[in-house]
Amino acid sequence: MVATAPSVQPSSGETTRARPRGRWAGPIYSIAPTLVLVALFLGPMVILLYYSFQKASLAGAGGWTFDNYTSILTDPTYAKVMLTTIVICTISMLIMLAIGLPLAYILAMRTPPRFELLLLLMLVIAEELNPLIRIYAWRMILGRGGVINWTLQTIGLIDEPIDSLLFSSTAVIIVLSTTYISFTTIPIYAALKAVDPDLLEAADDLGASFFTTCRKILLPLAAPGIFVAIILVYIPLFSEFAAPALVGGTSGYMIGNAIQEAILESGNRGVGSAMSFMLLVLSGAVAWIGYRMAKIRRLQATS
Amino acid sequence: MSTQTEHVGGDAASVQAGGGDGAALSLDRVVKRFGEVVAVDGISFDVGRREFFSLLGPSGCGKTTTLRMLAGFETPTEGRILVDGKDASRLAPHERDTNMVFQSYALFPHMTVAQNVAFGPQRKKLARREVEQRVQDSLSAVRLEGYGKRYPRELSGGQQQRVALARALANQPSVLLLDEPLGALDLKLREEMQFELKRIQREVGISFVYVTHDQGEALTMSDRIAVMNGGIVEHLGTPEEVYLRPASLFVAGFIGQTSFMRCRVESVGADGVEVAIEGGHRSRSARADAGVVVGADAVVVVRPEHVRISPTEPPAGEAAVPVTVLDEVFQGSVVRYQLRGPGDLRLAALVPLDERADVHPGIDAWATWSPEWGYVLPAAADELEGVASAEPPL
Repeated sequence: MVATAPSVQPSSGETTRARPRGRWAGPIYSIAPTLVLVALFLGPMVILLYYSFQKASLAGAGGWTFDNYTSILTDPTYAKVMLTTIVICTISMLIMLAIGLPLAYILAMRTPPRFELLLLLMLVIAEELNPLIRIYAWRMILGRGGVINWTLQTIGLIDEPIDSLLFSSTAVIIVLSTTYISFTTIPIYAALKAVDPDLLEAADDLGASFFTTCRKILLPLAAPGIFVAIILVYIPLFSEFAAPALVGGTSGYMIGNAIQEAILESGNRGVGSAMSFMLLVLSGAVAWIGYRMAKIRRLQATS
Repeated sequence: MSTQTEHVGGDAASVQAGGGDGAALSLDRVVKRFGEVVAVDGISFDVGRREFFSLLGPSGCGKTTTLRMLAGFETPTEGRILVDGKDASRLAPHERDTNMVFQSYALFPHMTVAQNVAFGPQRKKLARREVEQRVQDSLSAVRLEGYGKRYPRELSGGQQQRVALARALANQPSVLLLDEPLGALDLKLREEMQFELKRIQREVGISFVYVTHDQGEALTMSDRIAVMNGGIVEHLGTPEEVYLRPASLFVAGFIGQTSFMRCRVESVGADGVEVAIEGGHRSRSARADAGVVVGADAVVVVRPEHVRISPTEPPAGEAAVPVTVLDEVFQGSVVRYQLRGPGDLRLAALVPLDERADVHPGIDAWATWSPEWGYVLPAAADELEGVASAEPPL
């Protein structure tokens, strides 16, 4: 007893002396990552912004101008690409919600606990698949000699293979809506997991059909998760370029492809940067709206 | 042990328990099995209109499963459930005229109190004015007028409990089902709410089926109590019947504090039963179960509040056993004694302060009770094992 007492005291004294240092440790340690973030994210963004206001020139910068923006805003081609992008992204998002909502409900409320983790794990592993491999897999399924055409031809429903399956906006939508299912499902699953299952029984008991329970109880309580899913999925969809490039053809040409073409193929850094920056602003707006709504809904749900 | 003894009829309180057509709720040989496990093993009873009916029992006795079958969350494996005389055994919860108050309250967190209460009436497609009227009536029945715009999270536990009650009442069901609704409240609030629930039940005139494991709660509020154990109803009767004339050792041990004394039945007569208590006097008990036969092993059941302590041996013929005083605890209006009798017998006595005897721990004395308070139950000697002991929770 006596022997241990002195050894305890110095150590506790040390921790008291360490405390003032601890108070400053947070800010000190966070300076480095902040600098890295500023350098790696804000830096390129400033360069992007700079180029978007520069005249096109092989040297890089040819003087200040608004031409890049005015040409994008006045050229109907860009308007069409923008519209295609919004339509494809929105339909894909809606399809993913249509799959993700019931999936999240089944996972969170209707799956026996011993299978729940397994199913979640499968969902995450599916996400880990390389996106390019996924896209090529879809090409094999949707192509001229693909599984769908082959099956339809074999059972005699069609004589000639359907070409429009691949290289169309439909193909892009199919590929994209299978890409982010996990990112759509998991936030909604998390929101539903926090819902007391008794609420469903209470709604049933009070006279609500399953549909009414979904609309009046589950959907409002899942809303924070839905908005998080939208932030996580809808925004990355806008900058998608691999899927439209590989399965999109001309009707599935998206803003991401336009940016890639402008910068890498036409060498038009100014227009490419301007488009990138406009996309950034659009994404920011969507994120901000989603964030606000998620926050409002969460307040309503908990207060 | 008797399987299902129904002490119905005869008493004033059970008159309102309507049978057959007049019943708000009827269970007819209802069985519920989950795979191999039999949760409810063939129970039948009626709940009368305006009756406060309790299902009382320890956890795992089948009371909650029974309630969930009444609500429609579980389907009976066998038997029928009638609500208002109509077969509701297979109806979904939203198709039957019952409403439930959940132990967790299950209030919708994203809705205000008024929206919660309006949820049921709105599902019935009632006119807007009617819905508002019902919300107002229900909230005033539970004394929460003016709380309509609050969210459940802004209310205390007791207030949330009242909202849950108001929400179920707003649907004006034939039967209100309550699943241990006071379980989450602290003791003082729980006692207040017991009287409050009883008042509300009288005012709205709806049958209540109340599930609880708290015998005090059941005794305080109920018109009748069904004591359940192992999936069957061991005793169905008024609180008085269940307390004073328990149908089985289990009921005797579960309801209230009880001392069990082994005895042999000497004679059975019109004015009572004569028993020889193990190690004690041969005495008469005014009340006995119908199953008591001469020469058989039996048990005398005595409540602690009926036991008195005498320093000297009472005259022969008076019910008494010799005891050693183990402990004496002053509890205000009463003094609690722990006594050890012949064999392993443990006795508890609650003696009013003014009847306190001059005994102290370590002293040998006699425990006595008047013949009308000793209730004789048939019991084989080994049946006493495992039955709730008289060990007082000090």
